[in-house]
Amino acid sequence: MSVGELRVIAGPAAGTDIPLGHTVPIGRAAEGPGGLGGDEELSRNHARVVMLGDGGYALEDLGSTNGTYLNGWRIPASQLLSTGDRIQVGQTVLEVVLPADPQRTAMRRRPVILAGTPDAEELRTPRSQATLYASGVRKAYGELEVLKGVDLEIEPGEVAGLLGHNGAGKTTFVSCVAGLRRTDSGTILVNGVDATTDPLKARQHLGIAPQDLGIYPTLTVRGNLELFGELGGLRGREVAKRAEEVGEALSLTPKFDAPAGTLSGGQQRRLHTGMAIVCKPALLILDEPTVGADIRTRQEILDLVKGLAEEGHAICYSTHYLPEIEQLGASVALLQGGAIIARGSIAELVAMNSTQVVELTFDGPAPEIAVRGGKVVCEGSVLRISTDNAAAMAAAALGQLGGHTMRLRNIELVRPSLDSIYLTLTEQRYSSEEPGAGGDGDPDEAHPIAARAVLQNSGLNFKRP
Amino acid sequence: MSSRRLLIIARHQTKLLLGNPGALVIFVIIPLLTMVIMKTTQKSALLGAGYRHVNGAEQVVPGLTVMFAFFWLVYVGRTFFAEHAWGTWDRLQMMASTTEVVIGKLLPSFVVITLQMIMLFVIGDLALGMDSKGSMATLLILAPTMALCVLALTFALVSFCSTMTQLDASSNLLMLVFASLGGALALTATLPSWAQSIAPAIPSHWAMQASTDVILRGEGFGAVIGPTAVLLGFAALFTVLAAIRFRPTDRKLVS
Repeated sequence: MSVGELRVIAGPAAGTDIPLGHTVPIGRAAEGPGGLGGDEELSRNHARVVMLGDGGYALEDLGSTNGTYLNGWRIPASQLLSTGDRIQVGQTVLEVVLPADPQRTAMRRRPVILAGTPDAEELRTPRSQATLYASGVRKAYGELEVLKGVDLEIEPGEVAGLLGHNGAGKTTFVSCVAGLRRTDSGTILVNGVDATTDPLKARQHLGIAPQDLGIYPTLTVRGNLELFGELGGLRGREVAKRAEEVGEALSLTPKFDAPAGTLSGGQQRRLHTGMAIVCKPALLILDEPTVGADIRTRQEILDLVKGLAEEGHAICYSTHYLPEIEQLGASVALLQGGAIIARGSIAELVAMNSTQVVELTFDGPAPEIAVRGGKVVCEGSVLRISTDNAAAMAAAALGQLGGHTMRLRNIELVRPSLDSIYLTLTEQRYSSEEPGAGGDGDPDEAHPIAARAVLQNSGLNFKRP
Repeated sequence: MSSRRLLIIARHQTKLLLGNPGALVIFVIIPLLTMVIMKTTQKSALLGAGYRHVNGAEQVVPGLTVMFAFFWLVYVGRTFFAEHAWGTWDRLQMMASTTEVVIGKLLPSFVVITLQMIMLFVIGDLALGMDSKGSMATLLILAPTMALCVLALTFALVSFCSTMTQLDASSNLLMLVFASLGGALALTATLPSWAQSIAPAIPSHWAMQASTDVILRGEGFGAVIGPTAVLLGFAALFTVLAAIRFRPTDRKLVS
């Protein structure tokens, strides 16, 4: 079998096979083998199966009355297909049979992927249910290659923490997913729609809250939410209803008819996030949603994100506050140098990277010392030692300092955690590079979770007066 | 292109325009007051140019109507920069195509400029007692054509300017050049010969020529068709220039 087929296993046309081609329309009035005139519950043009650029197939609902179901789930617009998938349209059930592709069918599990491992290539094939599927995404600005083949998949109901230092390529990647920038090569599918060839259609499945605040200050909260709800495809009463739901979820109801410009910073941040979710996108991208947010706003946004994930939305969550990733129970995608260098759940990554880190901060340049059983990295005034036993290594390191002990300002033991994983993989501290947006007051007060985490993760943490 | 999304953006833009009604009122009241002030001066100029039975309104009404249409260059151009200042430009781009966003943003201004020109013509005619020798109705086609030309030029300016200062400076400069060399402030025939020779390269010249032919010379619709076609040509030229230069991802600075 050189091409795939759809086997009709139930319904008036049961027993027939529909060969797959470039596009196979399905419906009562559809032309070709997908014309299933005997099924009265089908719309005239119900759905179609289209071949993608990489040889895969996607199922698209064409605005049918009764909906198109894939493996029992009603699809919002389109979904990738795999062998064994069952499509239900009206009374008809079709089984998908695709040409043998061991890689395609292998992607049913969530692997921990580290760049350079044999599993890395496996990530390049789409799983049928991934809301975001990015493979080999490359983007250069002139000579500067910002994305060097990014592979990332996010499934429905998954919160994926996109981590990376400034310049790692997060914003460029997000812009490519949103269709605001063209990729040089690679594939990006948003809910099955190719964002590189049909960005406008892909955006219909996408909600994005950029890092920088984006609201209309002269419009009311209601006006802002309704505008983006309507642009996202909501109609009639649903627009106002959904705007009110989002306003209530974000505690904006008392200010619903106030101009957005009169809201406090935290309220504006909540509205900004609300505008991205008002049309219930399949994929939600939140870029630093809690920057500068107060405690209440931060918690409300995190609760909202968790709630959306529970409803089945796929969420790409970019943040500089690692504890938020842990609080959300998010998986991690670590972007560095324009590529994903680690992917998996926190527990999986911790299990694979049990390295502990001793970090010594000096008054002036860090001295170069040699210790057994540890990898030493000097960065300005900071000396970092990766080891299996941080406490023992700290004692050994202190013994090696000699006269430099007088310049020691801080020593910190970083136990296995997301923080230490990031440190191990990138040789940089993540929390040391918070964005400059700033909060309304004391930075520790504005970012209480981040401040608390440093203490929790450290076996020892002292500072000289 | 989705007409639904385009109309949603147009309705939204109308709300933003109505949120600042001061500008709409000023753009009608100020030209009317200026017409009253300049009427006597223009009467002398018209008489000097050989026209009889005139009171000055025949030049000052079309002149200031055309001149103030170009005042919208700054006002409408700034609405694009405001989107960048508010951080909403990228958000709109994610929800609609660039064509939908641009046309949706310009559509309400097209209606407003057209109405402004018609109102100034009608009020100027009635209040200042303009003695038109031709039918004023034949000039109505100039209003939407001029509005199209102004908005195409606005789009071109937005495409080329990266800061609001550049937009303000270039818009004000063009507005004054168009008014003075285009015959909006004084009859083209009274301008220096070098100015008369370059006037045809200016859109307002063609609007004023049509007005002069109808109001002062009593010509009919045929005198309006040619200038209207030229104005549409200008609009097409500005649109092409804008389309070549416009990059939706370009940053616009409000400084």
